[in-house]
Amino acid sequence: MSFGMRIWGADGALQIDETSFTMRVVLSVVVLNSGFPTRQSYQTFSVPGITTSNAIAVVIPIDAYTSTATQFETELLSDSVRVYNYLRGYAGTNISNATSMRLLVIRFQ
Amino acid sequence: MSFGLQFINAGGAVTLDSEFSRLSVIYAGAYAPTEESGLGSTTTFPAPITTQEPPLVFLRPTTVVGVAVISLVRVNGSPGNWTGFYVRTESVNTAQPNGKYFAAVFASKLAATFGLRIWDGSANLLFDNGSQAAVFTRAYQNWTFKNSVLLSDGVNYRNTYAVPTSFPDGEYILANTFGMPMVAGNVMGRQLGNRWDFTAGEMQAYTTATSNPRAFYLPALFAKLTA
Repeated sequence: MSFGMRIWGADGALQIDETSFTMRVVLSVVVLNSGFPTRQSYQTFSVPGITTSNAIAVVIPIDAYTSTATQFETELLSDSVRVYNYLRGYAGTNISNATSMRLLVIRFQ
Repeated sequence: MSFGLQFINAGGAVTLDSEFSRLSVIYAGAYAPTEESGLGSTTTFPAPITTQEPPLVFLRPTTVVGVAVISLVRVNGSPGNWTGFYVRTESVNTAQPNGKYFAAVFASKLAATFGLRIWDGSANLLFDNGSQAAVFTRAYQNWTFKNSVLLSDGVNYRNTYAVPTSFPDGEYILANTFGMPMVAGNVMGRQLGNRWDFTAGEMQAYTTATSNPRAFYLPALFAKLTA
C-alpha cells in the first residue's frame, strides 16, 4: 500500500483498505400503499446525485404480512427513485397489496 | 464537507467520512436448520436490534454439491425491537438452510476500546472500528431472464433469472427482499426465491405462479465482511 487507510478487526482480519467501497443510506422512508394516487401508479422520491451505477433502491417489509401480500417494485433513475404498486412492462392489471414498505436508497460509490 | 475526516479509496470513492454513517455490521454468525424437518431456520440475535428500520440481513449459504436456496425470508420483531430472522430452503431436493449471516444497520455503536471513532457535526456516532462497516461488492438493478417451465403440478409456471457469479468466498447477498411475494398476473402473486446453483456455477432468482409475468426487476445487492 502506497497511500490510504486500513482497518483491522480485533480478530486480525483486514476489514477496510484502500480498495473498499462502503454503503451509506441516502434515503430511508416508509412508503404507504395509500400514497399511490391511482390504481396502477408510482410515487417518485427525489435523491440528487444517484445513478444506476452508484446506487441501488430496495423496498423491504416492515410488518408481519400474509402469504398473499405482494411487494412494491422499485426503479432507480438519475436523481430519483420510483416506487410502483404494479409490475411495469407487463399488461396485467394487478397491484401490490402490501400496506407499507420501507424504501432504502443506498449509495456505494 | 468543511471539517472532519474523509478517507477516499484508490477508485476515488469516499469510503469513510464524518458526514454519513455507513452500513455497519451489528451481528454476524451462522444459521442452521431449526424447524420444518430441517427445511426452515430461525436465528435469534444475541440481543434485539433497536433501530426503527429492520436490519438488513445478508446471507451466505454453505457451499454444497447441488443447490442452496434462500426463500420466505422474514425479519422477526417490530420497529425498535428486531429479534432475529427466518429463512427456508425450497424442498427436500435442495440443501438445508445452513450458512453464514450478518445483520447490519445504517448506524454505528460504541464498541471498541481502542482504534478509530468518527462523529458528525451533530455529535452522532458515524463510525467505530469495533462496529465493522460492511464492504460493498456489487449490485444489479435486474436479472437476465433464463426460462419459464411448467411445473409437474400442471398449473404453476416457474420463471428463472440469472446474474453472473463465480460465488467468490465470503460474499453475501441481501436477503430481506426474498420474502414477500411479488405482483403477478393473478391476485395470489408470485412466490420468490434465490438459488445458489453451485454445481452449475449460476446465481438465480425464481418466481412461481399460475400466471407468471416475465418482467422482473428485483434488485440484488452483494457485500462482504472483509477487505
